[in-house]
Amino acid sequence: MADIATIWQDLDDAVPAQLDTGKGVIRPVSDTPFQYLVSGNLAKAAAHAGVDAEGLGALARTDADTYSVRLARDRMLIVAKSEVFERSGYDEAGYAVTPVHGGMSIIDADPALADAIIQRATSLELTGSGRSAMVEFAGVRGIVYFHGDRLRVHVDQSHARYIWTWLREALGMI
Amino acid sequence: MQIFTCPFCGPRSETEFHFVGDFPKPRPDGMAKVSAEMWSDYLHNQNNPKGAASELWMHMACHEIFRMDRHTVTHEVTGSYALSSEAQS
Repeated sequence: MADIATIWQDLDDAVPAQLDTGKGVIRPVSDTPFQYLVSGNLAKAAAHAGVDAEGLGALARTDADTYSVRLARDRMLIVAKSEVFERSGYDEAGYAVTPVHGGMSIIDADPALADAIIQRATSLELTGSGRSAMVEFAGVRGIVYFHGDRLRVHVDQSHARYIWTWLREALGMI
Repeated sequence: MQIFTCPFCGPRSETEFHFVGDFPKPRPDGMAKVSAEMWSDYLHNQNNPKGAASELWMHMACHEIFRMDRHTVTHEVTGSYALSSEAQS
């Protein structure tokens, strides 16, 4: 399978090392290099990867290094610090795995900024809602949950340049 | 902003949803017997009622297609229902 991490433009000029708003800091996450989209039998896939079969819903919280995030009734994202699937494609256990390691950009925000970002970018209740973490975030599809007490958002890599521009403007940085 | 409820994800902004069509909308049966007019009516025409309506909608975040009952004048949503047998069991 093609390594889609190689097809994206270099974002060094668009993604800052960090964005300091004065009230808190937003950073790109680079220490969780393994991301897998999984569809089909989620219970079997989760058991193989050693993660929860339900997955995090919108604004749900995890403290784990390797975890699952629910995207839809039959799809989830597995985020890991090390490789958890030896091969991609269909598995006879009834699930399919697509590595998207470089295909999604991860953003991590200080707790002090979380409520403001959620209120500006989404229509979610701040108390959290729903089984799926996939939401409309600043007009594009984003995966929104908490890692520890820090807000974490995954967006398609092709939207990364736009999202960082949006964050700068929405938080009054420009 | 109007809030619709996805049977899987829960309450979300209306901007996350897309209208699919009437519910139910049975496909014309038997290709040989279907006239061009019947096929065109199936593809392009909607009931468009003034009042209570049952419709298919898609939640664009999770791609769930579901039935939503709503009132086209008051915009009141009276129910959202999953279509899959797995979801209903």
